[in-house]
Amino acid sequence: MATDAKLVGQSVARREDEKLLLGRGAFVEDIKVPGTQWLSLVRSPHAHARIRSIDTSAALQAPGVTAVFTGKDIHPRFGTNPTVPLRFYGAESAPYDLIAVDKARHVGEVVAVVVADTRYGARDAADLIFVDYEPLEAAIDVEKALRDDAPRVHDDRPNGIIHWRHQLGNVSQAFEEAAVIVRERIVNQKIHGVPMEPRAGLAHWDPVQETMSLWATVQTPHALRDHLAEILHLSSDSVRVVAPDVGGGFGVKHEDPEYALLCIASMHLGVPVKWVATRTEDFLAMHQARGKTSYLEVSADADGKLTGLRVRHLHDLGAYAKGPEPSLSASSAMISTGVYDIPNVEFEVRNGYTNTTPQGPYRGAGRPEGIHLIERGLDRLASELGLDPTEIRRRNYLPPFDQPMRTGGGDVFDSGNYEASLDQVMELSSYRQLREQQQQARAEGRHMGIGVASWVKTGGSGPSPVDPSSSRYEWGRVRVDRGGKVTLFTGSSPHGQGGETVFAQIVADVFGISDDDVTVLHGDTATVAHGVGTYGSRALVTGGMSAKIAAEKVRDKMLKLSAHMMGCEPDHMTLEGGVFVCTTNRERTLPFAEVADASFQVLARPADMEFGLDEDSFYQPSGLTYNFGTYIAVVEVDTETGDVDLQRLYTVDDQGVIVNPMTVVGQVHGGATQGIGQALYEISEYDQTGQLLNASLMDYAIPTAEMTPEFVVAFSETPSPLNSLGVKGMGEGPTTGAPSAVVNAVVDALSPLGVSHIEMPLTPERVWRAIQDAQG
Amino acid sequence: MAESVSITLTINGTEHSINVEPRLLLVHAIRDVIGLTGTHVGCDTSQCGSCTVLLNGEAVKSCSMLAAQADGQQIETVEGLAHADGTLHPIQQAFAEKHGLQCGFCTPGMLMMSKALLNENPNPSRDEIRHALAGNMCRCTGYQNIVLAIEFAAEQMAR
Ligand code: FES
Ligand code: FES
Repeated sequence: MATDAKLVGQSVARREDEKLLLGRGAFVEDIKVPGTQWLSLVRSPHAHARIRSIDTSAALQAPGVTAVFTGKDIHPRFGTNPTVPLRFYGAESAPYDLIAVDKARHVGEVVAVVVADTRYGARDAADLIFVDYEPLEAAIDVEKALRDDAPRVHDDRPNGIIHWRHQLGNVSQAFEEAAVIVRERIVNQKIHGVPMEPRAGLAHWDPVQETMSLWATVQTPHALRDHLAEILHLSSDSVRVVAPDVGGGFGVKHEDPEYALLCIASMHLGVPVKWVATRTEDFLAMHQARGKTSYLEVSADADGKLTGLRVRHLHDLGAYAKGPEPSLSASSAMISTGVYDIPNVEFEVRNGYTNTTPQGPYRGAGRPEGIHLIERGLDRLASELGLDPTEIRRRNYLPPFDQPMRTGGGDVFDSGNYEASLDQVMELSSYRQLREQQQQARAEGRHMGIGVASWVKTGGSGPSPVDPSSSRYEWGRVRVDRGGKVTLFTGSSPHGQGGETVFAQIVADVFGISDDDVTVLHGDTATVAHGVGTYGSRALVTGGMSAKIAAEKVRDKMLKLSAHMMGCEPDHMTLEGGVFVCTTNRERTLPFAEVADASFQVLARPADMEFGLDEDSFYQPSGLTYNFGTYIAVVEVDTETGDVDLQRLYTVDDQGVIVNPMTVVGQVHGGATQGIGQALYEISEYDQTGQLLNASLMDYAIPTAEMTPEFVVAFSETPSPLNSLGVKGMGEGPTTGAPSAVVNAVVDALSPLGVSHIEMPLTPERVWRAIQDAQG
Repeated sequence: MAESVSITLTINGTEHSINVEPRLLLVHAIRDVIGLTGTHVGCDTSQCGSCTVLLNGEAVKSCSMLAAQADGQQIETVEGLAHADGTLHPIQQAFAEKHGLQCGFCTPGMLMMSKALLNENPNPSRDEIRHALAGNMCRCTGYQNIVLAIEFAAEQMAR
C-alpha cells in the first residue's frame, strides 16, 4: 500500500469510470423501490394568467390514479419555497409558491400534481385536469418589464426589485478626457444548462419513523435536505437526501419545487413516489441563465490605456428570485473590469421580475456576461486605435501578483499573471503566423478571423465581496479502520468532474499511501453528516482542503500514537511512504495498519488519547480564488450564408496547482464547448406572449460533435495563496472565456466589411444580417 | 390501455418473453420491464442518443420505436458489451484511457454508437467519427476525447 510517489499532479485513472462504462451506474431513474407510484405535473401553458378554477374530477376517476392535488390543497400546510434572502441588497423577494395558487407567472409553472400507479397512467391523467385560466398581459423583456407601466408579475410589488451601484474614481471626467470611447448595448442571451440527465426524484416517506428519504439528481444534497426540512416542518435529521450518480449539473441542479412536491405526495400516500422530467419540462421549468441586457461604455487614452468603464446591467430574474441569482447580477458587473487596471469605474445593476422561467446560476454564474462586456469593448477600442487585440490587452493587464489584491470592480483577486498567459497562448497558436495566414486568406477573398479573450473567474466560495456574510464551508471527515483502510466522507458530491478520484489523490498523499486504500463516500446525507456541495468552482478548493485537513489531523494523531508505541520522541516521528519511522533510530518502524489497530487498543495508547482514528474539518476559505486564462479562436466565415466555421480554439488556463491533469483537460474541453454553445448556437427564444419557442432538443441547439472545434490546450500554474494545496477552482473558466474569443474572431473576420459587433448567438442569420447592415 | 401484447426480445443473448402495452417504448421495456438500466433517456424528441442500442447489429434510438416493433429481434445494450469474463470491451477501455466520459450519462449511447460505427467502418477518420456521432449528444466532454477514444479503440481492435 505504501508509495513514495506523490499522487497530486498525476493523471490518475478515474475510479468513477468502470461502472459507468458497464452500464452499472445508478442514476435516480435507475433506482427502484417496490410499490413506487409515478408523479406527473400539470404546467401552465400561459406566461401570465389568473387561475379561476381547476377541475380535477376526471383525473381522479382515471384508472390507477391515487392522488391529485393543487396549490390550494397544499398551501395551508406547506406554503411556499423558503424565500431567497437578499440581505446584501436590503430587499425581500416575492413569495414563491410550490404550486401556483391564484396566478401562474411563467409557462411551465406547476398548477397541479397527479400520482398514479404507472408512469404512462400518470401522464394520461394529467391531461384530464381542466384549468380555467384568465390570460393576462405578460412582462417578457426585462428592459420593458422595468418600466412603470409594465404588467406586474407580482401584484403587490413593482417588477424592479433590486438596485445596486458601485463607483470608483470619476468616470464622467475620464470620458471627457478620453481619446476614444466605445458605447454598445450588449445582450447576454438567456440559455439553458441542459445536463444530459433530466431532473428526477424518488421520495419515500416512512410513516413509522416519520422520516423522508429522497433520491434526487442534484449538486447539493445537503442544501436540498435543509430546504425540504423547512418546507415539510421536519428536522434536518429526519430528511435524508441522496444524490446518486448525477448526469451533469453545470449549476442548474438545485432545490427545485418539484422535489418538495414529490415528498408531499409520498407523505400523503405513504408510498414511494417517483418523477422523471421530460426534456421539455426541463426546458420550461428548470432554471435558465445569463439573461442580461447591458449598456457598456468604455474609454481609453491615445495609447490604448483604459481610463474609464461604465456598465449598466439589466438582469432578468424570471418570475421568481431563485438561489443566489440576485447577487450574481452584482458579481457579474464587478468582474467586468476583467484582468485589467481601470482607474474609473461605475456600475448600476437592476434586477427585474418577468413572466419567464426563473433564472439561476449556470456554469460561469454571471461572470461570462461581465467578461464579455470588457472583452468586446477592448476589441472595439483596439480597432478604433489601430492596435492589435493582443497589444491593447498587454497595455492594460494588472501586473503579476501573488497576494490578494482589490480590483477596480471590487473583487479581491488572490493571485494572477495575466500577461504570461497571453504570451503562452500566442506561442501555442503561433499567433504571428495566424495573422499572416489571415492576410493570405483575405487576399484570396476568404474571411478568416482571429479572436482573443482574456478572462478571470471566481471559485472556491469563500466570503464574497458582494456579500461577506455569505461565506460557505465544506466538510470532510477522514476515518481509518483497524486494518488501516482510509475512508473520506466529503460534502462535495461530484457529478462528472472526477472528484472521487481527485479527493483520493489528496488524502493518499497526506499518508503516503496508495489511493487504492482510500475510499471516497459522498452524496448521501445519511452517511455524510454535513456539506455544502459542488458548484461555483468550489469542490477542489473547499472539498479538497477539508479532506486534506481532516486527513492531516488523523495523521498527526497516528504520529503521536506511533511515537508512544516505539518510545520515540514525537518530534522525531515521520510517516514515510505509509510507514512510521523514528528518525533518531531508523531501524525502528511501524506499519500503517499496526498503528491503526493500536488506536483501538486500551494498552497501546497514551492515557490521554481518545480511541480511534476519526477526524473532521469544517473548512472555511478566507476568500475567493480567481482562475484565469487567455483564449484564441480561429474561424472562417462564409459571407454568402453567414455560416461560421470555428476551426480551432487555443486555450491557456491557470487554475493554480493541478491535481489531475487528465481531468483538467476534460474540464477545459467541456467548459469551452458550453461557451461555444452560447457564442454560436444557444438561445432561449421567447415570443412576446411569453411562449418558449424552442423547448426541446430539436429546436434548442447544444453543440454536437460536428459543431465543436479542435481544442489545443495548455496550462500554467500560479498557486493560490489562500490554501495549502495552492489550488483554485477551474471548471467555469472555459465557459467564461470561450464566448468572447469566438465572437471576437467572427467580428475580426468581418471587420473589413464594416461589421463592429454581433449579438450572441452568432447564428448564420444574425451573421448574414450583420453583414447586410454593415454594407448598407 | 388494458390490452397488452406478448412479445419476445432477445437482449444480449437472453430471451425475454413479456407482456406490454402496445404503446410502450422499447427503451421503457428495456429499462422498466426487463430491468437493464444502462440504456438512458435524455430527451423526448429523438435527438440525444442516450438511448442508443443495437437492433440486429444496427444502432437505433430505442426511445423512438415501440417495444412491439422489436418483437422477435436481437438487441444489444451496453450491459452486453464487456466480455463474458468481465473484462472491458476495447471501446470501453478506450473511453477510460482517453477520458471520453465525465458524468457518464451519455456514455452507454456513445459506446453503442461507436460499436456500430466500427462494425461498419473499422478505420474511420476523425471527420467520419464526428459525423457518426451527430445524433449522440454529450454536454460534459466537448467530444474531443470521445473522438480520440474511438480512434484509439479502432487501432486496438485492428491488432
Ligand atoms: S432518449 Fe434522446 S434520443 Fe432517445
Ligand atoms: S459524459 Fe456527461 S453527458 Fe457525456
